[in-house]
Amino acid sequence: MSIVIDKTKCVGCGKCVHICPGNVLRQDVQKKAYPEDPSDCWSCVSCMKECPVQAISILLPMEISAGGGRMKIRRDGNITAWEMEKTDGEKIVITTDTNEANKY
Amino acid sequence: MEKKIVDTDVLIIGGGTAGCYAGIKLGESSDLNIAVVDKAAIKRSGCLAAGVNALNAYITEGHKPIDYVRYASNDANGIVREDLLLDISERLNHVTEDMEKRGLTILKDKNGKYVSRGWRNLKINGENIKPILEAELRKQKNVTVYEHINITDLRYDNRIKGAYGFGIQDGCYYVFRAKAVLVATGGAAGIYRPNNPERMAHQMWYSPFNTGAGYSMGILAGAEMTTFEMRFIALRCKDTIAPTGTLAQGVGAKQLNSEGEIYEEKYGLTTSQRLWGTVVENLEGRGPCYLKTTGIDAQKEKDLYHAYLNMAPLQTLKWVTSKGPATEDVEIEGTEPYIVGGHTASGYWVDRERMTTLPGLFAAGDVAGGAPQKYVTGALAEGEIAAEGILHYLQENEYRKSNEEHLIKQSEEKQKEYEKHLSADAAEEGAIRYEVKELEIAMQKIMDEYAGGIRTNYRYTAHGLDTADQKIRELIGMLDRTRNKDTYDLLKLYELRERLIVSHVLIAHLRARKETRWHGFQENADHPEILEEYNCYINSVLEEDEIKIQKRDLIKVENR
Ligand SMILES: Cc1cc2nc3c(=O)[nH]c(=O)nc-3n(C[C@H](O)[C@H](O)[C@H](O)COP(=O)(O)OP(=O)(O)OC[C@H]3O[C@@H](n4cnc5c(N)ncnc54)[C@H](O)[C@@H]3O)c2cc1C
Ligand code: SF4
Ligand code: SF4
Repeated sequence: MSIVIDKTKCVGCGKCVHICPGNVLRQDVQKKAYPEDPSDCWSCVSCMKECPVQAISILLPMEISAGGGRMKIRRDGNITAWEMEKTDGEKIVITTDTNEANKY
Repeated sequence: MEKKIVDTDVLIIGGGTAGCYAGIKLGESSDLNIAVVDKAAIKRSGCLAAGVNALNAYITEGHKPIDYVRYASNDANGIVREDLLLDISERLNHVTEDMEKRGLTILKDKNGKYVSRGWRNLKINGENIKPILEAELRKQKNVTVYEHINITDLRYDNRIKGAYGFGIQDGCYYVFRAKAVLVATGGAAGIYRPNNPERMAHQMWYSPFNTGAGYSMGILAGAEMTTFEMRFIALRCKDTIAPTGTLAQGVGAKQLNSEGEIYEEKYGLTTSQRLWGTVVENLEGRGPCYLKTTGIDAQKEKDLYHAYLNMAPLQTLKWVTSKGPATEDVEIEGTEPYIVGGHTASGYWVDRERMTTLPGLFAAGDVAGGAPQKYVTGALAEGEIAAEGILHYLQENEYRKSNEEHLIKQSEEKQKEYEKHLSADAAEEGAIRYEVKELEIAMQKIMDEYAGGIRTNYRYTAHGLDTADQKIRELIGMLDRTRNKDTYDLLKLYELRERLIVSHVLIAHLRARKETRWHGFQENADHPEILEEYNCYINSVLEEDEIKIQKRDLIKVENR
């Protein structure tokens, strides 16, 4: 489990539910998305790339890194802005472009 | 359940790398009606969901396809189908160029030549490789895509004629009727207890949603399987279980023990030796082990952040929020064993057209056996080979009358089976029922402890396998004792069934190879040496509920 869905932001479009490769997400009676069993999530972030309102973030699990941290994604065509945040509030943004190949 | 029937010429089960590409090729080269069915949405389904880092199989200038065959054969200690590997190797470059035309970004130098990583890897941006495949597939007018339908079983009389499944979201019962079927459902993860604890159980390398469906439906229909005992155990970044190839091949990071010694040369550099070396270093008190990344410059570190965002974003998040690879070596660990024919040789026994031993059923990608080190480009190549094989099969085989009575009965029984699982609660009040999750955890514990999981450092004994076998059979019997309220639960139930069936066959294969052919991957504590008499394939067929093991002679190709 690492994704967190902010119900106040979710507009109930269902895009994340559709895209999830594991059918992990569902919609409640108000159409808000939620993971039925959070431990099923693969952290592939496909749902975050689809969400039109950035309602989904990923919280770095304690079992993975005890320092913690959080990430959001803003995607516009080829460009993805990865907004990362340390627990002390420091923000780091890395932008990737699918037209640029990895150097390694 | 409402019943829906889909008639098509060709059915492709699994719209992943191999399935999508086969669909594109069949769409472009024929007027046949093609149905591609997937348990999820093909834009991000399967292994490629988050993206990939490189094309791991490509023949660079100065090398020949046979070099790749020799490399893969050596890495697998000789237990490969060289004929299948050669077919794939001859197509690696052409599918690569084709993918570039379709929109994949590949790194090139000033002269427009691909930049390679070693002699067989290309550097790409693989984040959007799945959306590219999806878009190309949807361009085909004769292809229809069916999503969120989980296929559980094949439809067959004396030939394979389609498949059965259920809509996860719409709750319908689906019957796909086809003249030929391609199975491309990937490999199987989640059989053994994984690296991370329950809450994070799916923080694993291989897709936890590839649960061995293709293997299971083939096994149940009597298909011959090969080399399940060559499990794939990956050496991965600790905790995130992110791939390490980009560090090892990309920035040349070497394997380092806690005493500061580079140990990889001591054990050899094949995939299984790299893993085994790490296991031994830990056992002998020189763990934990790392990839030596400290000292790389700031630019390299930044490039690595980008590379991992395009494949395993949690790794970059971990680095950025704590310490990056330039200041801290990356700790590595072995994963739980997976069954995955794209990395090792486990899967369907196929002929050169990728037809399985069941007439009308073809296999490609991670589900097909015999040809390890396939990776993305190998899966694409195999998708293309299978597409051609299917066209050939449909030309050669005039329409044959089906045994309609048998097929109708088969379909009715399948629908009843699904409905029975869904209504189990209401039917017997007070009866003993378990959650699917409980059975899943039990299966993983059994496999971990008795069939060579992480807990025993991948070692197993015949005695332990007997225990595993008995317990796995008991769990299979418990599938009817589960609680399932809707088709999402049914999905979990069938995923568990697939894993149990794969486990059952895997145990038989592990027992049958009475040697240790690949350290770690198949670590038989009763027989720790390599034996000449096992220079053969171990194959199996399920017959009347018993697994029949058969040895087959190695198939080699001449140098050319
Ligand atoms: C994390 C990761 C990183 C990798 N990185 C690289 C890399 O950098 N370079 C490289 O060359 N290779 C890489 N690989 C390997 C490569 O991605 C795979 O070998 C290849 O994609 C396998 O293709 P496939 O078609 O067999 O399986 P997949 O692409 O996984 O497709 C299987 C499809 O079947 C569907 N399916 C499964 N069960 C059912 C069912 N019951 N009913 C209907 N549909 C079903 C799935 O949803 C999925 O869409 C990586 C693999 C992983 C997991
Ligand atoms: S991160 Fe991936 S697996 Fe997890 S909920 Fe989102 S789409 Fe599904
Ligand atoms: S994609 Fe975003 S807005 Fe749409 S349902 Fe999911 S969380 Fe809500």
